[in-house]
Amino acid sequence: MEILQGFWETTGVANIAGLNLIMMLIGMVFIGLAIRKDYEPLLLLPIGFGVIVGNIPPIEGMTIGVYDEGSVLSYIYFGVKEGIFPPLIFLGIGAMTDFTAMLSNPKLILLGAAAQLGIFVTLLGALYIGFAPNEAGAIGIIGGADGPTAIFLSAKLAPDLLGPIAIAAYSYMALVPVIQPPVMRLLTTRKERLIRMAPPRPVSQRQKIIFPVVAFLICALLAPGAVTLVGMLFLGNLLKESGVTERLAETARNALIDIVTILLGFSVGCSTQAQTFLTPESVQIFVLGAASFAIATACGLLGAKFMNLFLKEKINPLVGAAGVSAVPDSARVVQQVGQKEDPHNFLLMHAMAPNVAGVIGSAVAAGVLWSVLLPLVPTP
Amino acid sequence: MKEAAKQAGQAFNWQNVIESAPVNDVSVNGLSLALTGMVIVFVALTSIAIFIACMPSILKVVNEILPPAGPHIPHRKAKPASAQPATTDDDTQLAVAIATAYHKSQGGA
Repeated sequence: MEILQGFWETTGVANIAGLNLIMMLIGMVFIGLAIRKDYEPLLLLPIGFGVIVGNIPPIEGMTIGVYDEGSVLSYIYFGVKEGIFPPLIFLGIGAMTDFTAMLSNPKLILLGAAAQLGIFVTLLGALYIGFAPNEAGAIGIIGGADGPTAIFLSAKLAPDLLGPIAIAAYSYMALVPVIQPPVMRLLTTRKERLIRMAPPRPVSQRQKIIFPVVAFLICALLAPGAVTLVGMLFLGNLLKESGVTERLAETARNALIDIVTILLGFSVGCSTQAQTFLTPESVQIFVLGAASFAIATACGLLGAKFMNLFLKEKINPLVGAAGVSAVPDSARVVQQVGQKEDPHNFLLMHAMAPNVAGVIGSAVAAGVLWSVLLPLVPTP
Repeated sequence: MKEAAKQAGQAFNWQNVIESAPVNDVSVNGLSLALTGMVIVFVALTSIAIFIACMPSILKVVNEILPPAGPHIPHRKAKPASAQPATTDDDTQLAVAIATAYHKSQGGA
């Protein structure tokens, strides 16, 4: 009887708290959203299942949980905690990204830059609310609409907020088709939405090969903190464009990115435990995240309108909304909103230019925030 | 840190933006950080845009020095006529000999 009593006290059923059950329910909701609504399923499904796994109560004396040194889950989480997985994902992203649209119309790159204002406005908002500077920097990067970058910076600056920041970033990336259109319609006139843009100029293969090398040098020399993310992004792109490493590019954009996505999503979910997730700070992070996406969209749109003051060949301002680097969802939203006004206006390829420029811009912004705010991370 | 700021009554306070509470004896001016960050992002992406715009002119010079290569064709050495594998001839001759012997054994001419 005593043995049974002792065994019962070690079971999860005896030790589970109400908050853990709520988190498990949240994990199931994420899985449901991924499967039923197709909301970023490649991330939300592993994250959702990880949330369920991570909220099984720990057993004293057994190294099982993600924060238990020596456990299997802690070794997987090591890739997140030390910022290894996000650069590997960027390698795959670079290997699947086509920079042709950006190379053929370089002025659209500035719209990608304008949209990154959302990161810094959100940072100011987080400081105003009372978050510490390192936490505000990690929260601000949600405005970059780039999941790997958000996870990378959170792991470096505010590991305690990694769970809510990652889930906020990926949730709002899935909600881009909901968040962006109202902002786009509010800040543009019908006449502006009807603007047709000239077809992009052709780009040679040599340009596509030289671009990743020089662009990396520019970004890394200006913001050395961005070396890791930007370096892997452009390495992946060079593997793709060189024409002689197709096997490596194929591996990077398929097998490698899939493996890392599974491990990253699952371990981020496992780290999202009730005690750190179900807090008022998480609610504030979610509110700031929603605001950051809207502000980034608005800044991209207004940037395009500002550029049109000086351009003879006008830019359709809707394209500015694609500076939010949720590739390719925000470019697709631009296409849909544009076609509602004029079904024969094809903006998708034009929108891809600020879309991929936004990926570079958010990585540079993360590098800047990391290098400035790292001294402000509280020492244990 | 946030709890400490809240307890000190500094939550929802513009002072946090101008000068954050010190951490590790360092405080940050949020407005300066935001402005500097945006400037660096803009400078980086503008530099990339300028380089891309200048690339056709740069490539004109580069193409004169290093003309673009043709399609990549793996170089294969041509086999010399004399270096034919002997085994193939032996096998063929053997097969002919067997066929001839069989034919003769069947009463052929």
